[in-house]
Amino acid sequence: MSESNKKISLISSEGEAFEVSEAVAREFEIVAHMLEDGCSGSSIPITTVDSNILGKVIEYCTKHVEVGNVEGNSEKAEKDLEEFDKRFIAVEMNTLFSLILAANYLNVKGLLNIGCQKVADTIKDMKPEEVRSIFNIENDYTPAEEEVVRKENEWAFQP
Amino acid sequence: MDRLSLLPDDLIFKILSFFPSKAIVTTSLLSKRWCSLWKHVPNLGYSDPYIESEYWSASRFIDKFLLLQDNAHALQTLYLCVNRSCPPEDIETWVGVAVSRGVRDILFYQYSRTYYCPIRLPRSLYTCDTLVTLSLLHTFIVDVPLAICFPSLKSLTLESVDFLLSDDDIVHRLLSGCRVLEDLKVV
Repeated sequence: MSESNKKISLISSEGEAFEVSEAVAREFEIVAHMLEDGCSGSSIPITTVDSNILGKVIEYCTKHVEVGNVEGNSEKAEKDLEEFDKRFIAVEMNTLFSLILAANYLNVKGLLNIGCQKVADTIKDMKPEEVRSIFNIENDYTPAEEEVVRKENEWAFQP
Repeated sequence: MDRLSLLPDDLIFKILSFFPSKAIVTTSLLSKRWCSLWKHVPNLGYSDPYIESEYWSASRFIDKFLLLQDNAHALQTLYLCVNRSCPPEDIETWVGVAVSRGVRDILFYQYSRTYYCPIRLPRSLYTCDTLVTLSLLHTFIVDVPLAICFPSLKSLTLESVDFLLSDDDIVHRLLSGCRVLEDLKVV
């Protein structure tokens, strides 16, 4: 049986079907496990992910499967893939969070990694006020409470 | 909507695992949701900011970090880049704490232009059953015990590492304790 020819439909939360090869579907670990557990159906509902995000996750997995299938010239392929990842994850924050949640649910480790890394890179050198403003984090400390936390962790804030 | 704070804790830890530990603690100032999250992040990554940092600067930070963290949680990674004035007995203690918390990956690096301060790693490290990656770079390790057993170690890197005895003997001794090693780099 040729696995690569088998097609699987992934159904988004809106009910839209995305037809992909089994190799691509298996990049979703959650789907790979279903297939291993004997789920033989050719359509799999992904009820928590909408069409827009599911389409993007499929694009990511398709690229990674394609590159993984090419033999030889691995250094260049790896570099191309890095470039692809970089472009792929350069999205606005809302989409980024949706991708992270989808990658976590579907268990696509590579995508989860680059998504989390992207959030980390965005904020790790920022001051707390800047992080709050970018992510709309409401500061629910009273000034006195904030001062206590600042004092408690002073050892970490010194250069 | 604050989608960052709404993420499940596990995903926040994953994001924070890409931060240096100092920046992880700073997130405690964001809001009440973030007040204690840093105490559960399973990574400690510290680099002395300068080659001539004060000898106590690493100790002040790392001691507090380990003391205040929730010790019931495993510490997955310990990455330390310290300069040679960092007290060796402190380094021994930190590695010992990491071993007792089930550490998986250790990277240790000493900044120095000239010589390396001799480091004694705790005995418990040499029989650590959770350790998967061990990277020792630019350092001088003394007092390697005879009994060594790394049942899970898959990757061992020794780069510019000196040992007191003949280096070949020690490397051989280390390797004899590895059962599932996949990558070995000795430079």
